[in-house]
Amino acid sequence: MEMEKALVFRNVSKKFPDFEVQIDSFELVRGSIMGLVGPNGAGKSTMIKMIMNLVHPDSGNISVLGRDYLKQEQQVKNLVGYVPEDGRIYEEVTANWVGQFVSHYYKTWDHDYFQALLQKFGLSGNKKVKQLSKGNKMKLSLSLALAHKPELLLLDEPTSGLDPVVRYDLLQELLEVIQDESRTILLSSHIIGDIEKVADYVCFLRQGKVVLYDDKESILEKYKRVQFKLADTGLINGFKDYFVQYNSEGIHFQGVTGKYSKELLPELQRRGVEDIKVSPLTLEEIMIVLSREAV
Amino acid sequence: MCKIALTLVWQLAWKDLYLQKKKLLWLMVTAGLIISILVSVNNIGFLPAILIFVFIGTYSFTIQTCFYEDKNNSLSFVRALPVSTVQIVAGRFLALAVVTVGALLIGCLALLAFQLINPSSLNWFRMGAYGVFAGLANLSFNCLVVFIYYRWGYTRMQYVYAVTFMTLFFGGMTVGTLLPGLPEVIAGISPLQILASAVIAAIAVLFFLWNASVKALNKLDLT
Repeated sequence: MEMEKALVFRNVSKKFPDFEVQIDSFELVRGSIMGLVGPNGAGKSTMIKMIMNLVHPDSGNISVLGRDYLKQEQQVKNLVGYVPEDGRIYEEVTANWVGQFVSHYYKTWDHDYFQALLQKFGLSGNKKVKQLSKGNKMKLSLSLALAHKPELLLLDEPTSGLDPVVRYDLLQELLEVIQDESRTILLSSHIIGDIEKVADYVCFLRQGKVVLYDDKESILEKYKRVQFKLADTGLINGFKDYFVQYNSEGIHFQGVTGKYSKELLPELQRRGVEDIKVSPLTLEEIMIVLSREAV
Repeated sequence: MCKIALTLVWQLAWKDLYLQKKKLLWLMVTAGLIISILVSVNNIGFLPAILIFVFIGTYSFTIQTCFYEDKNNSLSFVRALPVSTVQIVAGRFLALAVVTVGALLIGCLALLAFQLINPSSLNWFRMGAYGVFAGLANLSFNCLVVFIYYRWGYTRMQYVYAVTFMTLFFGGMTVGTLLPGLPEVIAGISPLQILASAVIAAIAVLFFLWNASVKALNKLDLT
């Protein structure tokens, strides 16, 4: 069963002086795209770096494509394409030189594909890395990660720090490239709109913990904004379990539920709730609600 | 399998050499010119000058390599490749060995040229033994600096840089006063003894530093 999973985290923890990551259980199905979202400092990059063994967990197990991330580290890295948040490529050399250097380490490296990606992204192979803009460095990093045809692609904030136009272009190009393949992708971002466009699954992190983890459609189905009226304000105590957040104005209430289903409305009506209005939420709105403390 | 592993180590070493090629060339030429001037004007002696040249050249290479790696955060780039920490450290040590041998060879060529212009009776075997000793001592010291870099980071490594230079500068000036009999003691040791002790000590030290560097790199969190 674990072989069907591209990623499995079990009781993984990592303590820093001012921050702790604790992931009890996390799985990513092969062939899917997962968006890792959360506010800055939620632990998204740390989680990705732990997969690459760049940050070492204090305890727990991580399985990558059915292999132990530590015991079979080199095998795992051969199958994974990693795009770090800030490029981290040698600045003094050309894109072609970096490609040539990296090619020695992957059995599956495809030089023609690398050149095709550079061309697709409009990058000159003879330009030094330091002469590239932030967006182009990210494109180079993506080309390097894709050229060895990885089974799992880890993208750590690929659109972070880019202006909206460059971000849009990069995302479109990213979509074109990744949709051609049937690989698994873990994409972290604090820009929810980006995740909404590409992800099948969403994992929301807050203060180093997984708060929500489901497929995107289910999340959008379960989380709704509900407006209603109660005969008495004191009755709200009986409905708190239905809402992750609510506010009131007299007997008029507005809240967000994470338990929406066909059965919820009749149940609320049976319990005396009146004038119920349900409206959908965007993923961004759901994430904002979850980022705040629950009621 | 072994050939592939060695090729990967060489590629890592070549990467360090390639990234520093311009700086290395500039440094070698400048150091060569300054030392030539010191030899001709201050008459500091050709052999100490060669040793200073080898020391400055290799040490600057080590510092520059670690500086660029730290500046570009590129250690995580290498760590993300399917290559072991054993190979990463071996690659760095190999690059240092290549620079040390290169600097020594330049020193030998300079000595040869100096001999052609100013012939004197030199014991080439003894000179060679001194050269190997100096080279291995220098390599061991640079590998120690690399270990400090992996274990405690670039900033702390710079303290070692400052302390070493001050120690060598002031120590070099006072060693003759503190140990007046040292030249005679050194002259009394046979070239073969120098060679053997240097090789054995260097193997032990380099193995220890390589092992310690691998352990440090395995524990290092690249946040």
